[in-house]
Amino acid sequence: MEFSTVFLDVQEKDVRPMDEYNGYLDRLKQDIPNYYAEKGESRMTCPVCNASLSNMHPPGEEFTKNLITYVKCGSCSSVVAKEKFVLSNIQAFFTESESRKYWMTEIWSKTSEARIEKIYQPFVSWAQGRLLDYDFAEALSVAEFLPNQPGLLEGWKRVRSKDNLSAFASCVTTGTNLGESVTIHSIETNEKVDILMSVDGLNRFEDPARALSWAIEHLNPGGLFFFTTTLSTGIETLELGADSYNVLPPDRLFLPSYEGLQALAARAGFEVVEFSTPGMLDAALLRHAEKEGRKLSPTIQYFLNNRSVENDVKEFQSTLQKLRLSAFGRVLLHKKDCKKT
Amino acid sequence: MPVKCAILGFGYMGEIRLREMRESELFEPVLVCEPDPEKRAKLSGVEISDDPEQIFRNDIDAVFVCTPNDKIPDFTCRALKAGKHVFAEKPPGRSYQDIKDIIAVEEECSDRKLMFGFNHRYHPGMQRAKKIIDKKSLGRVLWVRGLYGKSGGKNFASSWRNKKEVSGGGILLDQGIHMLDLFNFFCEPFNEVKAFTSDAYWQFELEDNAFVILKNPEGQNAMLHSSATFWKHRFQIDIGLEEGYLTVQGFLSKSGSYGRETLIIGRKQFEDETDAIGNPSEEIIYFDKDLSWQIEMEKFADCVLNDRPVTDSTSAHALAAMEIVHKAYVDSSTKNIDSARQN
Ligand SMILES: [Zn+2]
Repeated sequence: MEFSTVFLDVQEKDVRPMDEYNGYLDRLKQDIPNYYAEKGESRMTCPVCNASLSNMHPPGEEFTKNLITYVKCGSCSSVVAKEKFVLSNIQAFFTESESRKYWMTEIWSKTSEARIEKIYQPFVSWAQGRLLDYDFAEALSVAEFLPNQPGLLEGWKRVRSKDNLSAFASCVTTGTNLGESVTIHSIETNEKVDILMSVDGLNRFEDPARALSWAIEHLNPGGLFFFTTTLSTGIETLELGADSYNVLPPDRLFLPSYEGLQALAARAGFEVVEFSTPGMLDAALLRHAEKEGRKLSPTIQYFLNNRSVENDVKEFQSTLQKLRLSAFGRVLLHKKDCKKT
Repeated sequence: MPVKCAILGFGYMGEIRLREMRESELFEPVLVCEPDPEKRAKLSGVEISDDPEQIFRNDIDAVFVCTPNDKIPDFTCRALKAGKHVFAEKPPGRSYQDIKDIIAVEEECSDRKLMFGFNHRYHPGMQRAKKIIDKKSLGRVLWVRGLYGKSGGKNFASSWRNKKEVSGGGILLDQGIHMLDLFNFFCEPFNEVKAFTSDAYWQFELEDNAFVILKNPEGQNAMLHSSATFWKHRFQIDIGLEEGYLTVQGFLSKSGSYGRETLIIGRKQFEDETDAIGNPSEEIIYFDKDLSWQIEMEKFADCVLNDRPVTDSTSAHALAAMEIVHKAYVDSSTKNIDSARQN
């Protein structure tokens, strides 16, 4: 399994302008009781690794944030919502809640340029680079979980163009403005595509195993699934726990661990081709947390206070990437070609 | 039906070939011939012989010639003439003449397949770099620079590799030739060659360091430092292109001593000339699986089993790499004579 390190000039303000972000958090407080109050049964097993959740890590550790309670799996260290929610309510939250409307009008509109340049375009060029290793016919069919679109399973869209990835790339990188050569429609139940993509969409599912089996069902043999995910085993999430900026309910109902997600992908029938953590923001977020008076471990506190020159911070972030310890994960899964095996 | 194989020579390479054959359904190792009883004692599960003439038997389809350099041309040619397909390790003999002789025999035996063990081409870093180059996403290759070397070691002095009558050349022929093959893999063939060599440390009368500078008709330049005095195992190839650069650093090997294999992809970054950023952000890919042996042997099996022409690691590739080595030796010996005269 390969991994990469990538250095991009992403800053916290590029994805999370503070005033607007706080506005979003305020609206979440209003919305969550409406969409996430109705709870299903409590989880008995970890949705990532399937181990019993009575084995918590450390025993009894759980925390509640925005009215949603999380536990950390004692087997795989994933952080997962303790209770199940009603799927139609989750979908309603993403399609009609004030929070999401605010997100689209205030945050997306202010950050789309930076997001496109610093997140989506690098994502697409990564995918384009990786495609060199595979023999796909000229006309690829691609589906995407559009990150700025509402909905869950319905959010997976299929792009049909004179289809190549470049046409698709332009549609990813321009968000909703699709070129004329590209038609897009909701993927149908039995439709299969060569490539699935998701930028930061997976964490919205409360049942990641279901999301991955859905993905493998909708891929042709030999197909690829490119996605990003927030991880529980990034330094930011490990250090800050409940205070982590990455633990953001209900946008993220589960944060898989590096190891747990690999096991989950294998269980779903995927081969993990690449799993990198090319995040850029762990150090910045830890510094931010320190300024806000959140609790950090003595080691990190010492580092932030005494090794604060730019090169040290860069080296720190680079080391996190090399050790797959950033909270931002980038994954390529391959559905094995039945013909070959 | 798998390819029924004989392995001639059970040293470092013979062991690798047998291991790969056992992992693959495409090969059936029938026989291993090895003169050294100690090495033979390590073998089981396959017929073992000390008689190299056994490789010409009728039940053998293909011969893997894994001998020291001095034996490669003779066995390769005789095996081809005996109707065997041949996979020969690099270098293809001790001299430029050796590979030319092999090619002459190959031309007489055009229904047999002949391939050489330039496995570095099939390393994951090189394969990815090649795809990026062929796709032209970073433009045309302008230049290539390679460093390849090792530390010698306790048994280095007694190795056949350092006996001129057996090996025919020093570190350039033994290890540097892989890098020259990679230069030819990434660029158009190189025809102009300048070189300096020395044997200042090991004094085997074979070069322990070679500096080779190359040029081809397309104006691409290349430079190699091949060394047996790096005092660490080191592999690095830098490829400069119009829109960026690629570096393969480290090299997946059995011992892991060349470090983790990585491909660095850098993209040129400047909007205008006053705003050139001399340190662009790089993507670094870390590889962990070396499939090079498997890939090259499967290619060979595919040619044999499906009667396809050999297109990778061909005798022409071997000839091109040997031509550079030959020209480098000629150029450096001329200079040595010149400087000796001046003294
Ligand atoms: Zn778990």
